[in-house]
Amino acid sequence: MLKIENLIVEAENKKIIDGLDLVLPAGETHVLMGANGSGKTTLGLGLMGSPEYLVNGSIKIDDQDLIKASADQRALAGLFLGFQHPQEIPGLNFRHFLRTSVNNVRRFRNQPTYSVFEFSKLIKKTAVSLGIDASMVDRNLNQDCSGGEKKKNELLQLLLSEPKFAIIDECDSGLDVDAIKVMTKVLKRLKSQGVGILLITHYERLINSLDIERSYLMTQGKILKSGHGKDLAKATLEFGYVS
Amino acid sequence: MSVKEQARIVGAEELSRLIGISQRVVKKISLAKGEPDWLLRFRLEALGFFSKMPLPDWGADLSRLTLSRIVSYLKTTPGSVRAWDQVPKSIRTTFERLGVPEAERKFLAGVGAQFESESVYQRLNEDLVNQGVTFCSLDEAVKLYPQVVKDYLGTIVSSSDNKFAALNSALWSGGSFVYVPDDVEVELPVQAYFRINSKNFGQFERTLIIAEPRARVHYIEGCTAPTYSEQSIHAAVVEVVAKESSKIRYTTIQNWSNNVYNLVTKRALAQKGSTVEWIDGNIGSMVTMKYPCVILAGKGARADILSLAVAGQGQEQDAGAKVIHLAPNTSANIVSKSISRDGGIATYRGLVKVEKEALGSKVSVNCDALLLDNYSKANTWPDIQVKNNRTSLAHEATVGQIDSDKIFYLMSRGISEIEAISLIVNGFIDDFSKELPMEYAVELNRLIQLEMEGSVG
Amino acid sequence: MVDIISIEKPGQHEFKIDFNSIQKIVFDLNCSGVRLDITSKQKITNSNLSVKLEVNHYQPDTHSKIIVKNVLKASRLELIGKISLPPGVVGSTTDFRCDSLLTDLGSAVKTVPAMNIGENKVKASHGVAVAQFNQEHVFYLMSRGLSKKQAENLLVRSFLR
Repeated sequence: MLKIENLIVEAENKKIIDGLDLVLPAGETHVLMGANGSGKTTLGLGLMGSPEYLVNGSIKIDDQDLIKASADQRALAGLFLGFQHPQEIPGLNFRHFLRTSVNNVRRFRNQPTYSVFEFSKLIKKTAVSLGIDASMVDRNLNQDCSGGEKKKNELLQLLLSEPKFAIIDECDSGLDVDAIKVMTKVLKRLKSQGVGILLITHYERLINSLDIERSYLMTQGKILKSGHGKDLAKATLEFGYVS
Repeated sequence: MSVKEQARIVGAEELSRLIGISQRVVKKISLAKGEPDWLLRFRLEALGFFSKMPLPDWGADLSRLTLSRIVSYLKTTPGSVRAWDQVPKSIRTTFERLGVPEAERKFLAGVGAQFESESVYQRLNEDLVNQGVTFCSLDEAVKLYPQVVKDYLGTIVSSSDNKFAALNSALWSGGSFVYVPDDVEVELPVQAYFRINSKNFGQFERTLIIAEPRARVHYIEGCTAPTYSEQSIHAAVVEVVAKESSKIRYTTIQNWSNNVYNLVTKRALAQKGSTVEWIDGNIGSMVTMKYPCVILAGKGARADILSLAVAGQGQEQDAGAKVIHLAPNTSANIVSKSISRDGGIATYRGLVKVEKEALGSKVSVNCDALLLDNYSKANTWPDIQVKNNRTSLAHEATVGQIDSDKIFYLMSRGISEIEAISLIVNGFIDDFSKELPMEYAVELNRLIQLEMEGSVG
Repeated sequence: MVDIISIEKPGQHEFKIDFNSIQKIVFDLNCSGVRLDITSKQKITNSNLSVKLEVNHYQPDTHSKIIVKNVLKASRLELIGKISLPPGVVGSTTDFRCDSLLTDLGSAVKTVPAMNIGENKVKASHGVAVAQFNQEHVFYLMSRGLSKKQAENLLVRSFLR
């Protein structure tokens, strides 16, 4: 289980998240909604250990507190963040980068690492299943990619990282209908594998097609309301953020 | 030692070490090499320029390089080559990490005698001869092809161009001569003596490369592995002539030890429809001043200059590019990347000059400097001159540190901070390394990785 | 003749400079929180000008943005820029843009936008462009009934905006 207790996230002496609690059990999918500026993206970045924020409280994966861990240590512990604004890194070959990342995680878990050849096959296969052009993996990380393509690259990384808990921050924006269908399949598959997912989204179709155990409504850095299933999410979509 | 015995030693630098620089010395050198009169006069005239010309009052810090010190550098006692166990541990480790072959290590580290790769060189040479290409040392070219050398030597870089070109012109020895006849495209890059031969690491190398119309050749020199030199001044001159519709690429990577002043004049003349590419990597030396230059003298000629400068502790890399547009429809592309850390100073010094007659010129310049801490420096000094109203020119430069967002993104994927920085820096120099032959690129990436680990760890 | 302007108060500081009437101007940013905005747009006709422009950042969180646009006719312009960000000016930024349009063969421009950066926690950039009349644009305007001269004048105006 991912247990977040009394999380406080500050930047420039301002509290963006002020005392947030959240429990995400393995294999469950929770939806987080909130107006722009409510702190959803900051929550993801803060949980992942972004150096831009001062974070206090506790972030536990199965009783291991990650609050003092660096970002890479959190990844090794099984946390994954699908960025709302993925980085573009000139000159960094996507396939080389991802193999380094995946092998680091596997090494940490005492699993066998992938050779260049094995990984090349794996990444191409996975890319195709996501509707990503196979040539994308030979390019430089997110270079000259549209918003939608960058989001798909996030999903590709998500699948290959095999995390325990994944925070997906609006990775549906910029995706066409077919891509959303693929994303739905991916999230369902991960759920069946026991991955806990915190999904930040506005997309009704996505919410409808997934099994959601819990929904949250966030406002001004706090969870205002939470409820079982997807009722709260659907109500928010219908009636807006102002209660 | 008699003059005859002295003459057996390769290089005027050894002679001058023993005797000191003067007209008498230059005469002795020329005599020992059995040079024709015109070449002796060429050397003496250059010596005259050298003694009269001042040190440049711009560029890297040469304040400690007075004439008397230059002379004393030349006079360093022979046989001061070091023992293997005197080689700094960091250099030995670098050899290990870079996978430099055992046989090369001692030579590069300045231990023991020369490494002669005669047999390999022979085979390589035969390949080239079969293609109709002439490749030999410039000393040999003077003997074998005197007229050609006479026609071109000093025509692209005149002896009075600058003080160090003058020094080189007076004392030059070693260096390469490459001649490619009409329509011949040399398949394999021409590597100066497989990169490890003392001739290639001479103090005053002089290189002359000539491509006849429609010829194509790629010449490579230097190596990424740390190279020790007991000589503290390297003043090389490279002259390149690209005739009509020919293409010449000249790749250099230098990683001189941190006692070396590396002062090089490299210039190419590009005739109608030809292309000259300078790929210039400066990783070592204490001070480097080097501005590969292309003179676009013929219609439609093109210059491509790619420069990488890595300035670490105690280093000053003053490098850049020069392009002079003298003819219509000429184009130039300059890309410069520099990394400064641990107090290093990297300066991009560039000149783009589009003369009145060069109508229809197109120029693109991109300089990016990575500054890794606040005791290093990144400077740019681009001189941009356009003298006609039918030119399109764009010049962009940025200076900054590694974006912390990018480091965080990679770390969020389980990559350690050190590894993330290394990946990003290698990505930063990718524009440069992808133009290198595979083995060089791999070595360069590993070297940069080592340097980053050194500065971060 | 040198003009030295020392900026001692935080906030936005805007300056419009005419190259036809200055020779050397130096801006010293002596206070954190300064945002210096320099704009210099001019038509230079029948003149030879030599201008030196210096901006020195002396405090953290100082920002300079310089936009220069020149249209030259029978003129020569030499612009030497010098931007310094020494160690310590953390969080500062600078951007220098110089675009020149030469309208005739008698004109020439020399731009040297030098930068000396000693602090890594900054963002520094510059760009220089030398342009000519876009002949497709000229043709388009002429096809709409404008004379060549009118077309070029319009393009000069839009360049300087």
